[in-house]
Amino acid sequence: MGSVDLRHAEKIYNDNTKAVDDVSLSIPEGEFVVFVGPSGCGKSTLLRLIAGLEELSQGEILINGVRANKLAPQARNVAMVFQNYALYPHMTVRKNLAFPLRMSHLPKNEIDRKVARTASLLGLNELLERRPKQLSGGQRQRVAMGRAIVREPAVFLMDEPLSNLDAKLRTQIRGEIALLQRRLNVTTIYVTHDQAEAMTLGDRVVVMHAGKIQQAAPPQEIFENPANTFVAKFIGNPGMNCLPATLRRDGDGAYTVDISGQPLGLKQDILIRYPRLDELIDIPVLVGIRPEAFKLETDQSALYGLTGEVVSVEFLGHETLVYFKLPPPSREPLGLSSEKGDISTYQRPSDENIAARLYKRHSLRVGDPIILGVDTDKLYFFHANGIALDRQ
Amino acid sequence: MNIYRNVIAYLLLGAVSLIYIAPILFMFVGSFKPDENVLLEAGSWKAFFPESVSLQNFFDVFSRVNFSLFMFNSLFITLSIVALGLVVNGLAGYAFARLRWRGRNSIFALIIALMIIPFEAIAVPLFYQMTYLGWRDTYIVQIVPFIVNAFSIYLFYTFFIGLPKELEEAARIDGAGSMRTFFQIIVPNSKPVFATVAILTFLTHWGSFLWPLMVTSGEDVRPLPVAIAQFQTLPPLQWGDIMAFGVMLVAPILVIFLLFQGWFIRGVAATGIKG
Repeated sequence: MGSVDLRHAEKIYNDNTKAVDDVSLSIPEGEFVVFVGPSGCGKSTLLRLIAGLEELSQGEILINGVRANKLAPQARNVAMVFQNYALYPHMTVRKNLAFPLRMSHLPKNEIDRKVARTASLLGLNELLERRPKQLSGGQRQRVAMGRAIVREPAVFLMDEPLSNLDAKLRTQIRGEIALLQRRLNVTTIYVTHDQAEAMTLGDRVVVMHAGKIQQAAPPQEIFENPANTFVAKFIGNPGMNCLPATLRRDGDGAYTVDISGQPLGLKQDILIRYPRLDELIDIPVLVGIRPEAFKLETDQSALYGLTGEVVSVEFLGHETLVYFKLPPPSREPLGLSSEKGDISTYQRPSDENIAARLYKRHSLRVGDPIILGVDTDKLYFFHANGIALDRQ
Repeated sequence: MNIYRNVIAYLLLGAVSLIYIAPILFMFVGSFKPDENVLLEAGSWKAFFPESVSLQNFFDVFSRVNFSLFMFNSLFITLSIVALGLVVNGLAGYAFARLRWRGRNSIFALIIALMIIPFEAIAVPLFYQMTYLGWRDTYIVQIVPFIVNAFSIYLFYTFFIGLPKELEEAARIDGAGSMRTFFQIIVPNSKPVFATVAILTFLTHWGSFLWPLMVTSGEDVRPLPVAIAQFQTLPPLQWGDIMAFGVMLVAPILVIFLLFQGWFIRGVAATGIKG
């Protein structure tokens, strides 16, 4: 087992593209960490930096407490599973598994023993004499895992290992990977763009965007307390709706959040969850509403609701996703800037479709007016720059 | 309509291929005829259909000149160029395609530019260089200048650049260095390009004439193409023997092509060679 420490790691390519930007992260022994983020966010580059396939531009990487910046990949005691498996096409499964052991100059009987053990661990016994092209996608994936396991490395690195499999097999192998990692208890760093994989596999999820870590926390924490609007929008399917709004407090101390000219009354206990809410009074804010926080209202005068027009409806069987837009505001919200570097991008609410998840079957059609109630206990507040307001 | 079009197309193609096949067939048939009949029947259909078959011309070749030596020389020189060329140009192509080093692009551009220079343009300076080194009348002079080949490097480069990079990265993580990765991972997965380069190199150098003529004066290291030219001038002029010599000169090419044509076609497809 091994630990991995990243200290202000940076990777700048020759064309001055900053793929990894000042990343610091400590991964203790045995932890399963998932790097997740959209394409081009730097997650694979970070993994390759740890593997030694790319060279750091700045900062430090420590593996098991040893500075690994200049160590060759083979000297880092890490194993990697690639997206396309990278099995050696001209070798049988047995030879693929034995290759890393041969490179370590282990005696032949030791190699045979380890290959046999790995093969039975992964159910590869019947496939040992086949070549990769004679295997199915799932079998290839298993062999790739085997080649990583057989060396008993300090750290497993996995670069989107399931993305070439169909949905059913992906779910199955995802479970197997989780089980295997728990059994072997090897530090594992897993890269994916699939948030379902990230949330189900990781002890800790690291959400990345533009080369930076946006948040590193256990899955539930990421979902329930997103650090900023990027994480809020990225995690969840669909992600959180983040709407420009203005927070007001009337003479009686009642709080109202104004979204595109539609006031949404807040309960008094909001201060328990957001003790510093008063800091946001009368300044531009972003309000986060998860699609699950909506429910269809029949009462036109609902206190906690938004009125809009249906833009699209996706019936998914057990639920219906409704996308709607708000009418243009009667007045502009307080000027939200869209400065470079801001995590949020200013959009008028009326320009952005809002997603709502409804659990009953509805006969909504595009263009229909809609009133959706909002569970205001589930609202999130973000500063105008996208950073989440401190929450209890 | 389609049938007529096909018939016309096949007739045309057949006629064109006859132009190519006729001299080879003439040589092949002529090698089995008595000397006096070769030219005598050249104008008739008998040129392509022997009335009797005799191996006398082949025996004559062996008795008149040291054919075995010439054959050995040709095989040794050509196979040496092929074998050494595969290693050197393969490694060079790999270095250009995969390794990162300063000046890689400039040097590669220079090598590509070398492809446009015909050998005849450098033959004389090369001759002086070889003379200066004292290499004339040796095998080395016929091998060393041709090991490195810009076109071969380009072919290897084109093939290697298309191989999945992850294979090498996996090998690196598994503990293989650059050379081991090349020989144990890259080479076994690049058979088509190695076969293509081998065949093209063999064809080019098997028929090489100008350079061996310039640098060899004795028979000891002389290859077949120069030997056949000299054999033609050897009295008495016997066309049946010359044809037999020609057949034995061409045979290895045909054998090699037939043995490796599958690889060759795959290599041509993989590296995108045309024409």
